[in-house]
Amino acid sequence: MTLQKFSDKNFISMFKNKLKSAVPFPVIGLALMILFVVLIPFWEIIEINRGYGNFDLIQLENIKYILFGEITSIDYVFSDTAVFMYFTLVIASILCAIMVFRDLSNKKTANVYYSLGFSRNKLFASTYLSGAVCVLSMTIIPFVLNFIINAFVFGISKELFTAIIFSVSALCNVSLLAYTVAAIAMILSGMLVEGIFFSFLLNSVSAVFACATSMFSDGLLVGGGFIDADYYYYSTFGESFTSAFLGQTSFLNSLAHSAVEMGKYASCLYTSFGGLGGEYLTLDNWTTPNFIPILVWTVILAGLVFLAVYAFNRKKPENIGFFASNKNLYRIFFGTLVVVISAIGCEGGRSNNKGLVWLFILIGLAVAIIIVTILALIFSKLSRMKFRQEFKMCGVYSLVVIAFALVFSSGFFGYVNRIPEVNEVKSVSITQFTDDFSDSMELYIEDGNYDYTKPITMGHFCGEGNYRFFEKSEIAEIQSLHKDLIKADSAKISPDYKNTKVGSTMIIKYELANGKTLSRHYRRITPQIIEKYISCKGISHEIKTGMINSFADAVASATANITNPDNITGNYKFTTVFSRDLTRATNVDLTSVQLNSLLEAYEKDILKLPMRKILMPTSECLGVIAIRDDYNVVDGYDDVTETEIIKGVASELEYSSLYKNINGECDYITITEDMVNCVKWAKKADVYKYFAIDHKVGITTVDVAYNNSSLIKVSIASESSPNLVFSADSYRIGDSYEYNPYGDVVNSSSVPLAASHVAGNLTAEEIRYIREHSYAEYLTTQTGYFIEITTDEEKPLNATLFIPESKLTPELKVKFSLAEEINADKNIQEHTTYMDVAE
Amino acid sequence: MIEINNVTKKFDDFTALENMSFRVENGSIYGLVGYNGAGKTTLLKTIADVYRATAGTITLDGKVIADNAEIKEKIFYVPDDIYFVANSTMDKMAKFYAGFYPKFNFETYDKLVKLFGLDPHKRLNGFSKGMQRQAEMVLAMSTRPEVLLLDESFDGLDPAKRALTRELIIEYANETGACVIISSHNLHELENMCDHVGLINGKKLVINTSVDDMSASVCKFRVIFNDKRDKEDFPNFDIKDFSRDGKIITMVIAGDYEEVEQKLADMAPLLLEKYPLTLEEIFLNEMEDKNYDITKIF
Repeated sequence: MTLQKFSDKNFISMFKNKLKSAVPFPVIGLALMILFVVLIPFWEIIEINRGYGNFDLIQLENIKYILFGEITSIDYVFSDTAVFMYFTLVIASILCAIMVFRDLSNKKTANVYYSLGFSRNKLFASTYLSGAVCVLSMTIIPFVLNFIINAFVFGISKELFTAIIFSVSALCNVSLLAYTVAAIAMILSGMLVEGIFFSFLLNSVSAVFACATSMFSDGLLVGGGFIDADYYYYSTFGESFTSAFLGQTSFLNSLAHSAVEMGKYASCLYTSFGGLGGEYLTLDNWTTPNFIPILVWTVILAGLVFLAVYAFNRKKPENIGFFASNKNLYRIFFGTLVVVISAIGCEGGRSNNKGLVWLFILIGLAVAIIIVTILALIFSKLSRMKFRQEFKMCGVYSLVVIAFALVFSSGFFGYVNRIPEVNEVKSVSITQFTDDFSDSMELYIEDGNYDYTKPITMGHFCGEGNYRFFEKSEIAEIQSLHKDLIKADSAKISPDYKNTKVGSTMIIKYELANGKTLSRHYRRITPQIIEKYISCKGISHEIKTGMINSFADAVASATANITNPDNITGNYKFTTVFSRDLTRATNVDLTSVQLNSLLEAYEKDILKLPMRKILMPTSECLGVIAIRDDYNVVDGYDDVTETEIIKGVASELEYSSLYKNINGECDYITITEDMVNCVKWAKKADVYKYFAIDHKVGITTVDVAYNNSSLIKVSIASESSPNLVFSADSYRIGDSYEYNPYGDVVNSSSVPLAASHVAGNLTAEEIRYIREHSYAEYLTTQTGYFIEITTDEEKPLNATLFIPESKLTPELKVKFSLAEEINADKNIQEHTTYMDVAE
Repeated sequence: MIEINNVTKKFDDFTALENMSFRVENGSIYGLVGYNGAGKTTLLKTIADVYRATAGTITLDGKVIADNAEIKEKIFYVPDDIYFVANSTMDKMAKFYAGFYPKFNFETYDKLVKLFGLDPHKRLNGFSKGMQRQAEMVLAMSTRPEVLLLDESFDGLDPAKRALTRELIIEYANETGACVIISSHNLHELENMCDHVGLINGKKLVINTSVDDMSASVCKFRVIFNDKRDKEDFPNFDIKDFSRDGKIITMVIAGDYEEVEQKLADMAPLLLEKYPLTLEEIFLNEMEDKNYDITKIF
């Protein structure tokens, strides 16, 4: 009994001693946690009570509870504060482990601690528990305070109680796991510095491997990753393979799981009334959180604690003071290094050529092996590590990387190409061609060098914005398209591959009858696939509806301006008719009746024409009718009344301002001969005459650029129109951008077209011919030349057109080719030529 | 009684101690001597359960020490490299050890602090190396251990404090019946303090005997005969060292010194003188490397 008493005294002494050594970091952590969980969420309430703040009391009354986050910026509850909270908790827990276990990684102190009257188990238990108590205090105390304040301000509720218990359990798991993993690292290390390094490394291994997985999937996973135009999709990260992977495996990472699940319960409102809440948790959509993953993680935590006990019992104090006394730690480090560097190689070499990707992986692997060899050499000098043994391990690391890459490269042994049977499918979704087809289709021409200088996006795949089909016939059509996508993805790349591909990404998502989702991503989109895509009955209907609705909105808005001028608050809708060569823009005053009949005609034409003829017309463009906003009208003409502006000022505006303001919102329709109803309307409304080219407007320069891409789009004219799709500055010969994986421009270069002319004069007849045979706005699969013409007006106008190669006269063909060759010789830019125009 | 039974300690492929066995009775002071790196510290750390023996057992009063909290509470290890809690004073360290050693006696502590003239409120990192040694010795004896393990604990002490410490250790062992194992290179000190010594050489304990027996077992003789004689002329003697200067012969002979003296006397020498060997001489004789040839080094 006496001995037992003494032993307990020993235990308590050690516990207190370790507690003291650990205290600084948990105290800092606790202070920060109180800031995140108590002060920030309730600061606004204090402010409101003092008469400040952005919320009124009525809105406050809608709040059921707040656990963490700022209520004034409730949108960020799940981001900023939460991230800092998790960061604080994990870092403080790791530092806590380092502090309590550091004495056992120091030769001097180890002599004392190991010789004290303790069994190893008790020494571990007292040390571990002292740190664990710190970590738990840091986690629990803020939420206890939070609970008290919530109960005081909003009242006790079942939801508050449940959310607190859930959050505290999840965070206790997170912090204890980080603490325990760091403790294991400290126990296995022979030096303090080594222990610190491995504490952080082991805690980040799962995140590092998730990152490597993402890189391998980007580079190799057919049907699962992104290569070409994926940068645009990082904003819709939820659809990427990595996200899906992390989502499916979040239970493997307690931090990820907690971050996702806890975020849902960060706050609760009675209803979404008052602008607060929105999609966030309200009493209406309250469900009891799932505690099972937390229990699973508690079991895993217990396993890790046993592992720590085992490691502690086997620890050899004689190894303290030596580097690399534990080979396994270094093998984890070296293995991680090899996988990460190889993954970076995969990411760096990602392209449409799988061979190239593999080459880069192997280069990455070679670099990693060299680094590991050097490190093993250094550490074998510093410790008892045997270099030869570690060098041999490089073979194992390489095999792991190659096996990893092979699994991705094979698309999980073909699983990614599985197309479910029609009967299995409840619905299918596919990438939307564009969310606003008429004026915001973001099509960029692909750069032939695969360096993503000009990614093409087929449109946005944003949540519910995709096309979704339920009919069996429509599902079958998408499945047929899916087969073509798989075929295109696995096809051998020919030398002219760049001419047969549209740089884009297409996502198909099946919602299966069993409740599961099957999502696939494809990146080799050929013109044939585009044609098939737009010809699908369901998709065709969706696109046409989108086009009509979009133009209908513009017409409705313009009509509202006309019928109710007093409601104009800041801009005015103008109807502008562009000539077929875009060098003349005429503002026309149309009545609401005329606008609505135009819409009617447009609708009839669109519904009648096959989709292919609409998007890839075979007949030339006659002209363009645009409904656009002019923000300057009201702002710039203070001395006239709104009514005066609407009635007549528009026609008095400076000619150039029409073009300047094309940069703003603009809905336009391109009229072709096929659109018989629109043509008929134009004639009846007396605007058809404005389609004609005004040869009185002189042309000073014609710049040409050869295009052999398979699918291109030419935009309407503007003086400087980056908001519209193509201007002379923004097709591939103009600006060149390099993007990083997050979609940021990291490098850009510009070739000023109009400033660089080469020899090769055009006659006035040839210019006339070009103006008459160029297309203003199309999607086309034909090869030809981009033409940028500049008017001789006081304020010159640039218009970008396209002329198919087949339309060129032999003389023009020679001159264009000659100019191209001269340009190529000058090595200014591949496929780029400039021609001066004869005076 | 502490008993070391066939203890072997290996560090990976390197064997530091091999099949070592000895015992230290209660109230006995056992001196450990050996070359630098011979394994003295390793042995002490293994006894203290800082290191685990690769083979063999170490027991205190028949109970295995390894991982035995109850027994380890009775052992205090004073390492060569002393540790004090950061920024602590002697008083704080006393409280620290009092938490782990149930027999810690603050009365003894106060007396020892006064005896050594140390300031218990001063930070230990401000102490000189010698003072830190004294402080550690004070703390060690205040825990009233049954086994006191001292690793080079006299290093850095001034002569007065060395003498005081030596006397304290003898007194402590006598009064409490504690086992003291002390490693030192100061053989003269050990000779005056220890009742038993162990000599570690080549991973093994090559001598394990009482100081008295050791002195009696080897003796130095100076003899002069009227003719010149070589080592071969003394075939019945276990000669450990032999040197001759003219007719003067100096020999270190193992065996019962009275018996050896009689045998030499029977050979009718002109002069026969007997000198007891110091522990240092015994150590050097045993280690067989006293004849360094340093003339060619510089």
